[in-house]
Amino acid sequence: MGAPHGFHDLVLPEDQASLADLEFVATQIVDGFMAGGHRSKMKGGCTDFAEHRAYSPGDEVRLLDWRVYAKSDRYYIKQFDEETNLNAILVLDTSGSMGFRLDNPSKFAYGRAACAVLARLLLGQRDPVGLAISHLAEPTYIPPRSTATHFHLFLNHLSKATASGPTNLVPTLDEMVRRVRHRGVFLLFTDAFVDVPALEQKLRVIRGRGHQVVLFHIMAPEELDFAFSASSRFQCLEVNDYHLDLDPVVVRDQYLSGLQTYLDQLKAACIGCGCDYLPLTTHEPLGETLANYLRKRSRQSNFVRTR
Amino acid sequence: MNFLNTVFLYGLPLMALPVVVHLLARRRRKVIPWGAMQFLAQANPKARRSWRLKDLFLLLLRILVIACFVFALARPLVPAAWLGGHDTRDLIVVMDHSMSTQWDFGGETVHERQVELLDELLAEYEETDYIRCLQVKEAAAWLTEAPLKANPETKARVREHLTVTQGPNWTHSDHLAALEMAWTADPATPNAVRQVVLITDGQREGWDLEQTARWRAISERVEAFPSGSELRVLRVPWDDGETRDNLTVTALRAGREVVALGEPVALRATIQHFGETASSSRVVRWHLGDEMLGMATVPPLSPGASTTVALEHPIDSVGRHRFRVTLESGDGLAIDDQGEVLVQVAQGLPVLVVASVRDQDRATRYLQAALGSFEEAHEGVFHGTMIAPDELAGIRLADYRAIIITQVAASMLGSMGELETFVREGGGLWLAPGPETEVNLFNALFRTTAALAPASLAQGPPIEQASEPEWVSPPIQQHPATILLADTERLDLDELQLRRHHSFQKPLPGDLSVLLRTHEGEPLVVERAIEKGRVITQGFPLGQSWSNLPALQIYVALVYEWLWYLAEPGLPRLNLGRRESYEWQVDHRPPIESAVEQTPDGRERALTLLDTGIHHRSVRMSGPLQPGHHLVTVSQGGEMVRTTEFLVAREPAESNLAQIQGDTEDQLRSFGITFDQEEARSRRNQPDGETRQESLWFWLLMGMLVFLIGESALASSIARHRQLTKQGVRHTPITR
Repeated sequence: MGAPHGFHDLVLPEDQASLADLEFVATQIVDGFMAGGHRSKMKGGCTDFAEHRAYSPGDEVRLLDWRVYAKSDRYYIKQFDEETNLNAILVLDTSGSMGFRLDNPSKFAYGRAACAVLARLLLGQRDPVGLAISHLAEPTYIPPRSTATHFHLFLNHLSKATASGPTNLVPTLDEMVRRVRHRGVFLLFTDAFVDVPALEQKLRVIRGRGHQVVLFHIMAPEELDFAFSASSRFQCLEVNDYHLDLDPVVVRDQYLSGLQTYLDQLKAACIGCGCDYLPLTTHEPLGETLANYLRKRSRQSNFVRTR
Repeated sequence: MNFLNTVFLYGLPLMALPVVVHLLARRRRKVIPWGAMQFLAQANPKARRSWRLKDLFLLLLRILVIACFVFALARPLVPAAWLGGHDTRDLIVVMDHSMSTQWDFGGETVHERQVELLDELLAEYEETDYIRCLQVKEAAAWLTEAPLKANPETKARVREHLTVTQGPNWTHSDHLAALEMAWTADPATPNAVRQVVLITDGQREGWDLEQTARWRAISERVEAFPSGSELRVLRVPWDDGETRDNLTVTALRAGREVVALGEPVALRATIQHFGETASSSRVVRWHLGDEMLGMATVPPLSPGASTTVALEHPIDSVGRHRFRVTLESGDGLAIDDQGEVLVQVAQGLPVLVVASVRDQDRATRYLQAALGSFEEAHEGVFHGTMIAPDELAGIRLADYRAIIITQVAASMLGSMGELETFVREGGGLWLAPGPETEVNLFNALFRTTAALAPASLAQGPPIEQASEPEWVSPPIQQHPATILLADTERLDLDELQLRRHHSFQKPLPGDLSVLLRTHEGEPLVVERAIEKGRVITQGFPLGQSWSNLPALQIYVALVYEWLWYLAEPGLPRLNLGRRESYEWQVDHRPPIESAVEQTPDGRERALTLLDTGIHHRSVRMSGPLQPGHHLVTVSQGGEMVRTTEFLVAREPAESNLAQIQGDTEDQLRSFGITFDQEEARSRRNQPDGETRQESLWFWLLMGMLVFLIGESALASSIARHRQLTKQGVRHTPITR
């Protein structure tokens, strides 16, 4: 599958190379519209054999493996791993804070590139990919599709998005929960400068609906080390006319302390909800970071999947 | 605040430089678009402000450095009080050295207590102040007239001056004169605060409060002193709780200071009790020189009472003699328990008698009999010389102490001027016109030509008693010339009878004294003083023509008494009052060139010489005089010509130790005096800007140095902190 127009504007060539032969594999069985209907969750006969298990009253008779019965005179149920399409919703936070950049790409640009890369990967596997742009004024939602033209539409919306205004992540997630009926995976690209308990509650709701959640937490290195020395004016990116004049040297300890607490809370919230938490820093190579993560996910998938 | 170099104040705008730099730095502040605002907003506002505080403090230090530098160059002057100092004080210590300060409390005198007060006073003064001291005795005298810096050497010098006492001291303090002298002294510096402190025994005497005009003048000076003033009196405490017995010899007087050889000297000593309770009886002893003459007992005296003891003693040698009376000591002030008087035994006082050659009245003979002889060689007190009226013109009158004129002649007209001069300079004139005298001529000579006679003789013939002679009344009015004559028990004045006598023209002038009157009250003898001299005019002759006077006992006494009275002004004085000035003539050829007085405290002073003639010089000794013995030595060509001794009486009131209190104290306060430790009324009569000022430049430079060090330390601290932070030394990395 060739790279669509606009992709190269969003993703660096080296990142594209590192992601070329990767395959996104879901670790959980999700409802796939390829298997269709409400039975998709059952061990079924469409695809790969998985295992035998002893028959117990109530099992469907059609699933009995008669050959085994013929040989061993015992009832076994034949189980298969159903191979379904992954229904992925990519949520991109476009709050003003995502626009922060100094020496590296902005968090928004970094997250947008990550969205594009993962969308291409998923669509390459013919998995439906949807996009939700979390913007207070101009929210955008593209329902998941796996058609060849969908990627162009996807990239078109992605490139029109800008980082501005207050964060709207939690309401966007709320909206997505209501709209997305098929279980799938939510991929959140955000700096998550939101109320952590509110976010945690929303993640619990998403997880309760059976969705898988991966939170790509994007931070700038300057935000992590706060290595400013000159007295500066810190202009808020989300609220106009809000600024703080201060000496970074003086507040650095308190800033880092507060940040560390926040990060710990966020990570704990994600893990507590069964979500994946992937920290991203804008000065790191995007492709390498994503590749590492996907390899890790792939190993975890091998652990549960028999192919 | 004043500045010596105001031009440097134009550099003050440089103080704005750090502010400008600070504002420019703020304008250059880097703006960082930031997302994670909540973590910055969570930072402690105090931590955020602490930078501002440090920043502002740094800014302040830099401003102060520049300000100190600029002000130091401008050399500001501020009142000394701003630096914890005080105005320059110009202290004048006035020490009361009067006789009463020698009171002994029993081991410690008032003067020693005064010195203790002096020490406490001097300890309050610093080297920036000035000190002078005045000593108060009979007159105030500067001990250190020039104001001296109040350093330890000066204090020691002042203390030494005010502590040393030279011999017995009978002086009387004149506080008023001393304070006048202190206040008229030139100020030590134009801005010095004048402080006059009088250290006294607190005696009520010596303040001359009746001199209200002079006191008001002092008060006005105190109030108007330009740089502030204080007038304080420090009193020695007398709170020993004891009642004091204070008997004193207030006076010792002789009936006459000049007496004849063998004539008894009448001495009277007055003894007064100034104590607070009745005194015990005391013994007094009389002395002539070192020889004790006798004793007497003073009865117990109630407070304030006085008594008199008397002695008559003849002296058998010519010269000056010192009589002394001493009171048995019994109080703390022994020095006033004695009194002294000088008496001169004289011989050969020249008297000129102008008489008729015919001497029908025989007055000359009787006078000669009374005076002894008209020869110079005889031993009598008065040596008479008889001349006719025509001879008067050739006589040098100044050689005589008294002149008796019994005959008047027209030829005397040319001598009237000299006669008048003789009287005015202290000579005595006794006019006793005889029966041959023409009244008109007498009046023309002694009333018209020269105003010598106390009254004119009445025109017309003398009053003649046809049947009964006229009797003379013994004198009743106290007069020095008639004290002895009034004693009719011993003398027979009451037997004097006049057959004829002149009467005086009425009305009598008001400036004369009537020495003798007839029983009818008609004046017979009148007297008046003309400047230093005295003139007696009597209406009857000294011979036998008109009265029985030569036949009476009183004749000799009358002649002597009146000659003494007339001669006395021209006699040398021996005993002087402390406020008196005395002038006497010294005859010496060639004239004397100097006269030096040695005062009782051992000091010497040159006396003024007045040129009174070709061969005469007068010596003037001006008061106030120090009580005690004075020796005046006159010299010519470096050689001593003569030494004369005088005795100056002390002020009796000085023995009265009653203290200032009540109305006296209030009155003195009203004149601006503050007593002891009372808080002084604030008298600052000038704006602060004119008080003593000190330069601040040194302190400003020191301040600049301190601020500069502080600024450097703070700036380097901030820079180091920033550097460490930049290197990340202080922080643990964030974990995700």
